[in-house]
Amino acid sequence: MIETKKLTKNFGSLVAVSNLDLYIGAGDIFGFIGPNGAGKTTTMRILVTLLEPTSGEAFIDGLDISKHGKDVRRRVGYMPDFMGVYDDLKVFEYLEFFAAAFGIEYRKRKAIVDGVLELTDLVSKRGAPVDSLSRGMQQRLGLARVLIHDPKVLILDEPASGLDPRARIEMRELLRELKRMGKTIMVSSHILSELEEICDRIGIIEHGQFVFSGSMEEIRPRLGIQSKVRVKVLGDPAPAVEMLSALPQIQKVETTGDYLSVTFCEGEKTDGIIARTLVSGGVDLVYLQPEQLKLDDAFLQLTKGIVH
Amino acid sequence: MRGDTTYGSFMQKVPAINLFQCLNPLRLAGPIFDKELRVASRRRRLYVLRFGYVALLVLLFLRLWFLMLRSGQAGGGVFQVSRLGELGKGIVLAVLWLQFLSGQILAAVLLSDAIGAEVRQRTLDVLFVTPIRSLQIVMGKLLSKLLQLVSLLAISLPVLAVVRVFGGVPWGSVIAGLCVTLSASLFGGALSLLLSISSRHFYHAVLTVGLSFIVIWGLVPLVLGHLASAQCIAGTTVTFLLGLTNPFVVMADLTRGILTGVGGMGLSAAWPRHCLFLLGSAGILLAWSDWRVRRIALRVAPLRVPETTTEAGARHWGAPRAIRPVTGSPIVWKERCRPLF
Repeated sequence: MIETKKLTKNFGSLVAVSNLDLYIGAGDIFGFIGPNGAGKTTTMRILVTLLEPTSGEAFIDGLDISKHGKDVRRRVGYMPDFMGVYDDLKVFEYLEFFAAAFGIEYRKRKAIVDGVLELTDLVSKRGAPVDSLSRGMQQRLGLARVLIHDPKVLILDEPASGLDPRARIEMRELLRELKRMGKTIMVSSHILSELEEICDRIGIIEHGQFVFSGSMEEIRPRLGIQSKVRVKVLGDPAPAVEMLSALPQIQKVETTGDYLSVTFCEGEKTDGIIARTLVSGGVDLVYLQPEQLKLDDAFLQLTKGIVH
Repeated sequence: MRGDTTYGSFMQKVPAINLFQCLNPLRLAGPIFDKELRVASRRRRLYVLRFGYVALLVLLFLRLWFLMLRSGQAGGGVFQVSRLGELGKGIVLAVLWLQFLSGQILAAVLLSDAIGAEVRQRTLDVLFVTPIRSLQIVMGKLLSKLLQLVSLLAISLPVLAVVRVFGGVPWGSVIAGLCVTLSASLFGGALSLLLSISSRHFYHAVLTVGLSFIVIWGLVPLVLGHLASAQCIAGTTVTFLLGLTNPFVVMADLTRGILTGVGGMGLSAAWPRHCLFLLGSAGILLAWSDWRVRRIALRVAPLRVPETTTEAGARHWGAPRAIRPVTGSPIVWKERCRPLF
């Protein structure tokens, strides 16, 4: 649905995006991550035809953005990181204005606007002035605006920035709902745990280039990180340490407080071997949890914090 | 919360535009026109302007009326009727000049923040991800503000119609005056709109329009007059050029025509040509605005990129400057660092 080939954007001597190859399949949620100034917003603005690439190609729904700008804009909904609003318009009027901008017929506008208000849970704010809305409400209004012409692709730049925890959870639920509706979503965020929960794939960009692109499962081998499991047993942990250390699949066992941290050899799976060994050895196992690689950790390991 | 929405079922394919819709003049302005009118009706400024204009009109009318009364009641019926005609001329001229001056000033003020506000509020890029074209933004802004202006100027039309009963002023002169006023206002508005694209504050655009008017309508005729007196250029050529380009000259000539009953410099019949010239000039300014709006929308993008790293920034700032230490009051230091203009 979204594809770029050797996409490059220079601002004078500054290379904002460099030979970026990106592919996002239909119906996917793609998390776009990177330090400030890495080129995320520039890439997004190129995709929504607000910037022309210096070189390379970009396609939305098979359409070349350089040649079919108007058609691309009908297929894409873009929500910038900072959304300006018109002071003197009410919520309904604001959305109706954008419906008109997308050429939606007058007699259909009311129903469409009511639909997106319902979807974004803004029905109660229908007649409220736009500038009286809270930050969270304005973000939702931005999303409602983006949805007004029923685009296939949503490009959302930091949609959760500045939102309180409740608003962030609601935004996340809304994105899941949109995915269920079949939308392809490209979303950038600095709140990495948010992306971790909702994204099918992520791309980590730095200095205008991808340092990683793939699923969360693909990051671990990319970083050369072995699987780890946290274990807690009842009573003295020493026998458990002895039993697990003897296993050929296990590289090392460390005691951290009440817990044991078990590191597997590279490429080994964690399937049940620990539980089977401990239970058969007469140890009372009370806790066993594979350690998840956090996106924050992957981000820190993959990026160097280079700023233009 | 949102699970049970009917949103998707409402979505329809955007219909193709038929020939009738293409010919609709409002389509040129698009939804911007509608939005601007809606927003304007909620701004107190519009009502203050209307009140101020009507108050000025009434004061002018009363002033002329009392001047007439003070000049004496003596004389026969024929004399009194002729005095009414003179009063009619005075009122018509006063209203025409009021419209002419206020029209240009108001057009410049109303359009001075037209595009600048969009840039400042960061709404321009949101508009550009819709199928709206930059021409629609420019025309939508211009036509909506001009409609406000015309509705303001139209307040004085009943006065002109009533005063016409007194006699002494031909309809042709009134219409000519209105046309010159409208074309000059359109030109001023188009210039203000163009300047608003790059102005950070509305008053920058207003001041620049004022300065431009002083140069175009004031200094250029002076220079041409000087050249004519020095016989560097023929007097008829100067008259022709001024009649073509300068609305003040055309209005002055119309005034002379109304007062004396004959054409002053022989330009009275040339006002349609002058109006066409101003309309054409306004068209060029609007085309330029259309081009610049698109460019400025795209330039909003690299806001986070330090300006000195961009080509435009490098041109603007030249070579990177040394870091200046803060000396004395930090507020004074900061203000000193800001460019004067």
